[in-house]
Amino acid sequence: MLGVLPSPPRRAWPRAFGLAVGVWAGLGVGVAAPLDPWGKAAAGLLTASIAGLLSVLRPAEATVAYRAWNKAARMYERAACTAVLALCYGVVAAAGCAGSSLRLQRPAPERSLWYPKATLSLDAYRSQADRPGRPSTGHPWLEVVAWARRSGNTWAVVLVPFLALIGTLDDRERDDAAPAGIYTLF
Amino acid sequence: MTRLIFAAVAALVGFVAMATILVLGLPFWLVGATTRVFARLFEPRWLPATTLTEYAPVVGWKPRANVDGYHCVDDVFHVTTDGDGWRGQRTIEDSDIVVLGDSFAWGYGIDDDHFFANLVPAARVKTIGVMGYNLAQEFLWLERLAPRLSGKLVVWFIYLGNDLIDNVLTHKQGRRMPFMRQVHDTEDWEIVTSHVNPSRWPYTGTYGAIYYEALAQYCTVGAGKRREYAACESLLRRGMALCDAVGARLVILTIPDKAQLSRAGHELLMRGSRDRASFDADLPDHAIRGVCKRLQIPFVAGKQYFDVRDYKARDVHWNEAGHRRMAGILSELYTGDRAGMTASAMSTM
Repeated sequence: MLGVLPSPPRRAWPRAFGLAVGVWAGLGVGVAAPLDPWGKAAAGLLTASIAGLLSVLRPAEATVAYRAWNKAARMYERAACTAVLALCYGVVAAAGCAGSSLRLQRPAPERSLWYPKATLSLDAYRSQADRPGRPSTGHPWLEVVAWARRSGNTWAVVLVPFLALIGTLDDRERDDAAPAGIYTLF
Repeated sequence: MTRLIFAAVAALVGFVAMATILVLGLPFWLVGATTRVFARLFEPRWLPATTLTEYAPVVGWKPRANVDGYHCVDDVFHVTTDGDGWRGQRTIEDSDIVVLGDSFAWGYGIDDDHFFANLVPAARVKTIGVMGYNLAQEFLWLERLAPRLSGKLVVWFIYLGNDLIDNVLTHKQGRRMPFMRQVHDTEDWEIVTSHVNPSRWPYTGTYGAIYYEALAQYCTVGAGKRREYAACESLLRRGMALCDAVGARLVILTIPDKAQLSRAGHELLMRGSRDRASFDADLPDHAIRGVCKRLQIPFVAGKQYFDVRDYKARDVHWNEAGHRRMAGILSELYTGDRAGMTASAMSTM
């Protein structure tokens, strides 16, 4: 996710962070300051310059600020991820209120709950993941949409934006430990 | 259809709530994205690992010549190599001390400015180090460069993390490398290079998985005598003979693995060990000291000097403090050498 930065930071990152904060703080001050346009521009520029300079001149303090910001960003992402997941469950629960497609009540006498099913081709048993006859639509979310339509669960399409956001927020599989391409011989 | 309507209504409510969550996260995303843009501008483009070495007949691989660029381990560092691929621009002839070794001697993970070879005040240091080398490869370079080492102090690093075991392995991550093989029915060892060629050595397994297992055994009394020490002794004997022949003075300096330097590291090494009681992180040094004593080579145990804080947190190599520490050791060695310190006196360092 864009919000969480590499940890521990490499040398250039706290400086970049200081400048980034400076740019946005400068913009904020420029917009909010009750001054004429030139005054706003000057105030914004001054704020950005001070923040930028501090990050260059005081790298240790910039690193402390970087770590604190990163901690907050991580906490936000975890909380946001949990909240969006709860919303997702809410949508599923709402869809469930419309009733089940499964026939759950006791069958009438002389009626069976068995459904006739056609057999699968032999190819289907080789690999369940990439068996023939399942053309890929490319993007994983389009796959979800295709599955929803194919399986008669069209309602599930509305979950896609929630799931996409969870996928972006969830950092459990993210690895900041080492960039790719480093030398591993020692 | 009813289900779709129910889901759509719930989703609409959810989108409103989600919008609030997104707005709250906006500062994090904006600052994060801008930081990435600036970091990309400030951080120099670094070379991938494959550009730092290349295939070389007999020795397996060698460092690339005339590199002037950046590489990244835990941070980006600046590295330059000379026309032969050795770190730094000083020539062997122009040096007082020649350091032979693996990635520690190459200065992996450290800028030229903080590289130990550039920090020794009293002496000029040239390093002959290549990432991933074992002692057999280093000996082959010593053999090639011997005529240029006359009158110099040659300090040979032995990294206890993997140098001993690597001496008897045929490849490193599929790259074929010279190794030591015991000559049939004798106590002699030979350096095998016949299998070295550019093709990959077929192997499965995880690189480095056996290193801590081997180091744990070196540190355990019950593990018995290891043939790696015999292979090492054979190489050091040859190295000593070469140095004697050209009038160079050889010193052996062991580099401890950081796992040997802390309680947590000891625990890491001892996990899965059946003989925890006899664990002693100094045992590899004792064994190599014994070898050096037999061969009359001055020996310095790096473990006496280094601290776990001298190593990178996320890598096995030294940080800036570690390089300063090594520069101090070399300075002491050089001073002792000039003062005519005997082998036994150096061994007590």
